[in-house]
Amino acid sequence: MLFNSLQFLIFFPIVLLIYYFIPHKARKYWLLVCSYYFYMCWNAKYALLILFSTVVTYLSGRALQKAKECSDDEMRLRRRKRAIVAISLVLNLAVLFFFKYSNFAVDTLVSAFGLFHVTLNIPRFDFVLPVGISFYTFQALSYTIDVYRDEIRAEKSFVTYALFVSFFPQLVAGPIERSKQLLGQLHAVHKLEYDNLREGLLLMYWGFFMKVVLADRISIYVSTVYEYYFVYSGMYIVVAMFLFAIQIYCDFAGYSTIAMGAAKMLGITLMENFDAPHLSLSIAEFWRRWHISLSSWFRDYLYIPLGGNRKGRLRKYINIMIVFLVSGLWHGADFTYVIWGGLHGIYQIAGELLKPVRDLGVRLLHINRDSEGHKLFKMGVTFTLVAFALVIFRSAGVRNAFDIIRSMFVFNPWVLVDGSLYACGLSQKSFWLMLLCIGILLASDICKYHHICIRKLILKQDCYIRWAVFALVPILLLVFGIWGEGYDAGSFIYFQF
Amino acid sequence: MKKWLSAVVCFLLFAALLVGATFLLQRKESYRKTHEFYTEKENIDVLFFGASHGMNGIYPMQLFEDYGIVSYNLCGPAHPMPTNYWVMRNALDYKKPQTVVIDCVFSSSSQLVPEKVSHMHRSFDTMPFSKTKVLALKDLIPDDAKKRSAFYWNFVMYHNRWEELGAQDFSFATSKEKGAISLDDHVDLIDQAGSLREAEDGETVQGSDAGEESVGQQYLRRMIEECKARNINVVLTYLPFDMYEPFFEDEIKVMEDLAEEYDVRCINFMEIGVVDYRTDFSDFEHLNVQGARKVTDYLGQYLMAHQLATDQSQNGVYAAWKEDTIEYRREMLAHASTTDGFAYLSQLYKGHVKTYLEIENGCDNKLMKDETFLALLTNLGVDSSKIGKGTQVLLLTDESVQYLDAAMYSSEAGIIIDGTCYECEKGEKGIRLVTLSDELPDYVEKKAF
Repeated sequence: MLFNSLQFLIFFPIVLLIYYFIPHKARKYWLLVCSYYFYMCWNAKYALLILFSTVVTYLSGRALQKAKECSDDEMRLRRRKRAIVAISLVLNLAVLFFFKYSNFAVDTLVSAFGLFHVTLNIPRFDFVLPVGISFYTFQALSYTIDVYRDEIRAEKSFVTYALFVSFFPQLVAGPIERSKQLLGQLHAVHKLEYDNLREGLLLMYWGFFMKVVLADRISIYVSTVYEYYFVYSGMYIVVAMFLFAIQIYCDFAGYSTIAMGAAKMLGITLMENFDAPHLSLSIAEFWRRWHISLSSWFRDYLYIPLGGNRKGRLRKYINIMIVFLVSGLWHGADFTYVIWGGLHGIYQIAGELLKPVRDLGVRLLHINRDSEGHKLFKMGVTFTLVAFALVIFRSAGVRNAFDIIRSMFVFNPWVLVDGSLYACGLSQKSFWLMLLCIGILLASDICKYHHICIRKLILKQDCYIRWAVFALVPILLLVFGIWGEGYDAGSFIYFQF
Repeated sequence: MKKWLSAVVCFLLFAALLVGATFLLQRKESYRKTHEFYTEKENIDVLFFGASHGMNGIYPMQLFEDYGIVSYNLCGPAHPMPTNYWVMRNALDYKKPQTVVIDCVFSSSSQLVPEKVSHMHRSFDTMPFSKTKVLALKDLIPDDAKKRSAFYWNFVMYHNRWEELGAQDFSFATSKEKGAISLDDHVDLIDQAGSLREAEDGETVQGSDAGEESVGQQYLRRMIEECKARNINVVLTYLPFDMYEPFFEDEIKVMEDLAEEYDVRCINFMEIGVVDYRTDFSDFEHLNVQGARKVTDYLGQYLMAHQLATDQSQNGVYAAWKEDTIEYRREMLAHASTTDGFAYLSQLYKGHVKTYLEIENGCDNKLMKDETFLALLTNLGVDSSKIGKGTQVLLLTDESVQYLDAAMYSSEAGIIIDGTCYECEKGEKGIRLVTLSDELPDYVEKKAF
């Protein structure tokens, strides 16, 4: 079930109404049923995979807890804990590997042997990638590791834990919640609070704006140009490159925001997953603001265990590359994602290595580092680097990516002003609406960057403004959104990961 | 409590805005075409069902004006028989007609719905939600709930029409054509050799396998049976259009066979030669105003002669229909004003106007050798043999043609009528005309070509 579907607009109010009408004790059962229903609307059989991951991590958590409580021998306890967590990791990652990476591995092997003129006949597996498998697997694994690290006690209630893994607002595209943050909330009593409903609704409005008005509108232009890159060369691709950076942000952040809003209306607070990432002044800052739940997951469960920056500069750079390559692979089973991740790793390392050169330049040119102009310049460079890496991310394959990049270097700046851009799927009015909405997004991100909460500002206004916002905004979303008959409500881009 | 009250106000405001946006953004064709059918308080005696040939070819207001027949045209563009069946079933929930006229084009088709979804919206957008509508959509679009949803709430389809909103979208005005859509273009279907031209892009109809009863035929049968069960007279028609369509002979046979089987009347317009292929078509398939007026006239006579309709012209409950005739006339003249040349001339036929037509050089005018022009004049009752040399002025009305003294009526500046000179520059081909209406005193149309 997609958030931007009529089905969800019927499903969610029913869930909400019943949730607040039934006794507190029954609520987690209700949410669990709803969560599985939500997932099974897409593919009923694959719900078994969530159940498998849930059972494995639940039992491993219980086993870890029991081991801690029963064992006196430190060494033995450590060995036992390691064995338990290893079993949980292997089983979960095996499922993830099988469903997400097995065909990629087969293709890579065949290609690699093909280089030496050796033909391998390994059959490919014929199945659909389970939606959200990377998200719930990582969430479940974080729980096992947290219990292993004694950061939390193992959850006793299987139902609560199953709900933690499958909580429908964030089940298929995050944010990847931590057990410390979410499990406690699932136990708490949530009263029907007017303010939660209002705030949740505003979050959902904003999420829908990002997804159906902006991301899906931009995708029309971007898809056209990427599909026919041999026709739309030069500036068409440059524009598509920057627009895709905004599209993927709106798509993913939009989904996360709708998830936050839906959860908020149920009385549960999910973590902020994006914090104005395109206003970052460096690639390192970008990763602190982009997909925060995943970045922090890799930081806590991969980068730091690998030694982080504690084992010398070379090891730090190796660790950065490992994290970014794995992160790329997490996004998808293709070399384009791996290269994209690798490029971000290189950006970070190159940024550090070139720091003395940059400092020298700043000194020689008498640039004030705190000036707005300098910040704007850094922001522009960071955004361009991010957008450029996304060209590879968006491409259909590595060769396709290089073809597109080559096509970019055609001199035709006049297409920016002669109306040619309106021939790439979006009408002139729709194109200008897109630019206006990007302006609104930018204004909102600037507010966020400066810690100004627009939601709170709206809720402080008098009733006329509030009524206008609550009643008019959904109408504008419905009118200006890309949805409905004739429109294949494009899956959220991050569903495939 | 105050907070929750605020939420209720907000929700009501949202609902009101949504209703407003739904109306504003929807295409208004369906509203303009069928709104009056659903809001008509009195019964309607004759209902017409069929595809665009019927929609463009039968004028209910002309039937009322000339025969007092109260009728409504519910034909829809490219409507195959199954769609017609459900449009009829729905219409019969609202009215109890004496007679249903079904045009049998597409009776050999296997389609359930028109190829273009917008064509189906023309009939379904204003159809109120009802059990019949639900059954109709389930039957016509059995496997696509998403597609069906756009017919229950057309906002699903039209929400992104904001890009093409115009003044007409803010208007509640409806057409007084009572479901008909007049076409004011003109095409001569006869070539220089005197044969019918062949259409270049004739519509293809997906028929059934030989020997099988087509889906269209099955639903036509259901339409007849439904009417019979409700004691409604049925007349099957096959309206005139381009004879080169490959399927028309099969469909006429289907019509005649079913008419015989169910003992209902049928009219094959392809045979009876009511229309003139030189002057009466808007394109290769559809009648223009002149052709439609001829067909409508024939139908009016037929319905009255066979007591299939009642003259309601003196019935006080239909007083509003009389008032509508003035609006209808204005609409038709407004349509006509947008056309020129032969297309305009073709609309003068039974147009309830009087036209002063000036032909420069009279019988020596080159146009007097043009077969189409002569056919248009003949339709208007002109005897071209009476046109002499020198400039000629004719007064054309629905009833008669007067050959006037050009010296009194023609001047360099324009045409002089009752002492008033209606200024009009001479046209390239030497034709000038001024059209007036007794019913609409403010109406003056001047044309030259």
